[in-house]
Amino acid sequence: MAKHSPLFYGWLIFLLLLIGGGLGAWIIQLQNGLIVTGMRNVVSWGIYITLFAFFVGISAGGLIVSSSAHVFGVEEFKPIAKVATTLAAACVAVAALSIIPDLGRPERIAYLILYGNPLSPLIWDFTVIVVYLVLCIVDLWFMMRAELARKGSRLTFGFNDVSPKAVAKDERIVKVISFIALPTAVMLHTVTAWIFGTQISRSWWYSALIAPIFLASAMISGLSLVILTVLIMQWRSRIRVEVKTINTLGKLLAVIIPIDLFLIGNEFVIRLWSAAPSETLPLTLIFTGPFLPFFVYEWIPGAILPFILLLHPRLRMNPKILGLAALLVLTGVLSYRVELVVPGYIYPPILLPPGIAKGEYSVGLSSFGVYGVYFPTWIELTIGAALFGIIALITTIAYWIFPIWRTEKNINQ
Amino acid sequence: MVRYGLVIDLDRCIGCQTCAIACKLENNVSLGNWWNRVLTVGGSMIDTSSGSYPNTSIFYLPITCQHCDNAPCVKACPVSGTYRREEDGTVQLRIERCVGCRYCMAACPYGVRVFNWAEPKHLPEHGTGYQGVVKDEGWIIYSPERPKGVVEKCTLCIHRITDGQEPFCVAMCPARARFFGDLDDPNSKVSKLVKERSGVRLLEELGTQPKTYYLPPKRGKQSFTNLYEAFVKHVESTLTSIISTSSDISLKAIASATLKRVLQRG
Repeated sequence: MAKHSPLFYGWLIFLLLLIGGGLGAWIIQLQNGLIVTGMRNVVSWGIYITLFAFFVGISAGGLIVSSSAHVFGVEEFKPIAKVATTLAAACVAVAALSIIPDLGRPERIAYLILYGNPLSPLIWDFTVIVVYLVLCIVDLWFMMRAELARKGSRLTFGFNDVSPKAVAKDERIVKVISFIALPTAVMLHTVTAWIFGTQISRSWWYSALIAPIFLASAMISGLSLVILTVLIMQWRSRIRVEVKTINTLGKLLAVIIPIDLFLIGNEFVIRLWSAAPSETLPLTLIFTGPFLPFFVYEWIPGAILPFILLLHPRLRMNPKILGLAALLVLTGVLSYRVELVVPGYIYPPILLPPGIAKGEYSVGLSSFGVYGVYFPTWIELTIGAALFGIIALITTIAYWIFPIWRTEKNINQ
Repeated sequence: MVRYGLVIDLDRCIGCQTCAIACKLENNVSLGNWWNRVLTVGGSMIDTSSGSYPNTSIFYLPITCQHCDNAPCVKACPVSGTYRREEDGTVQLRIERCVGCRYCMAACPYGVRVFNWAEPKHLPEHGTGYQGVVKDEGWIIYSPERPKGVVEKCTLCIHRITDGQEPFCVAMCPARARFFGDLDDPNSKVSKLVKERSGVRLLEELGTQPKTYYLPPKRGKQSFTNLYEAFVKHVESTLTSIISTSSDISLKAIASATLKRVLQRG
């Protein structure tokens, strides 16, 4: 274990404080119930599910990178496959975790296994999340086994053979896993999209395009996270990644951004042309309503600007510009998730006064609402921040103790 | 098979909210939550009409769980906590199985599912209504005590209908606008009403196959105009009789001035 800078330890302490704060907020929520959130009966899903969809999305990068390396033979991705897969595992684990604060009775979570309803897209997603997480961990183990064995780590579970034959066998297994992991990754985003896409009562979600949009937005946000992490690790250590790798990552990102915009734009055209209120009412929230800043951010700084930045190879290979582009895409996709979940609830299918019982009683105020209103409380924001913190902590610890980064292939110095 | 359902005559519903209150009392529904609501089909506020006088229109739409045969909530529930009971077709919820994910609330197009965001409070504090517990295959599907963190909804008064009674909202409706019965029995009152009065279902286009039928209102703008005319005629004849029979000169003067105004407006 190498010695680290004060900045590194400061970062760890910051993450622990963030996570501790989230834990404290969750305890308050457990004691008082979900009344401490901004959610009520009309808008009954908020920031937790928004982040769930976001975290599932950003987990895409890992297996795209490692599968591309092994399935499509993109050699330049091999050195970063471990970092990418670690990120994938961390993100998908935290995605699963972000469901827990959303549950009213988290102590009954085992019922998902005991009484799982085969018709529920939530159960399909739960299954594919578990499969994906296991694949990531197994993949990672086979990629690291030889190095762990050389270091004498117990994590090899006794498989300490470092002969060329054993290493070649590991590589073959990693290749096989990549072939399974690629369709699993596609299914992960598709099934997560189906949680929303199957809901006929929410016209904003009820679309066959949701799954392709989730795939495209997952790929761009996943790649951006890999790019950012690789750049940060490169900045904080003396290890350098080949320029070719960075260039290919940037190029791939630039190719998928317009696909994502194309799919989302398609939705708008079809909905606007119908001019049916169920289709256009949610759009008014995005084009003129409270979600306008998210929409503008998603499209201009979150997609079009990074796309332009990534077009030119010289700009693309500048770490600062590439990092900025990746950060913009990542936050742009987060904006898309915000536009997806809550606007689906604001206008329920039946818009008649006095509306739906909100589930909160205070003297002198109506218990009903025709339209939904949602604004996250500090409890939700603190828990949300802690979830980001957990992803960062897992990645940092993995960087610290596992040889996810240090391989012979990528050390040019 | 028995398929219990509700039929609501929108011509008879006067929007008095008795069914909503009755439901709240009988099922000990907590403050802030309602299983049964009466919506106004008219203006943008409760009890207001659309249009401008005299061309106005208003009717009421009582709404509670529609007990759909193809219920989206049943398909969405990850733990089969909500399910369709084969023996009577009602949609029930196993209170102790609900994980509180609220996916059913996203799935339900009718907005009839409510969540206990905090520990439920009642007025009076000790609660009201049926105090027993109803179990189905070992799982509680009705209890007056429903904790925080679970979803709840109309059970079609499962404790009453399994006892041969009507749901409480049906029994209490002062306008006799609500009917309960077996939709699979062609001779039941509900089946006959649906057939004779061309009963419709809410958001039928979503394919949820709800078991709550609404008998469309015949009255509306036209009948309201008739009502107005009838009222004016009544006022006219009363005023005319005062003018011709009363000995009080000042009353006569007021009556003729009023009559003049009424006739002008009419």
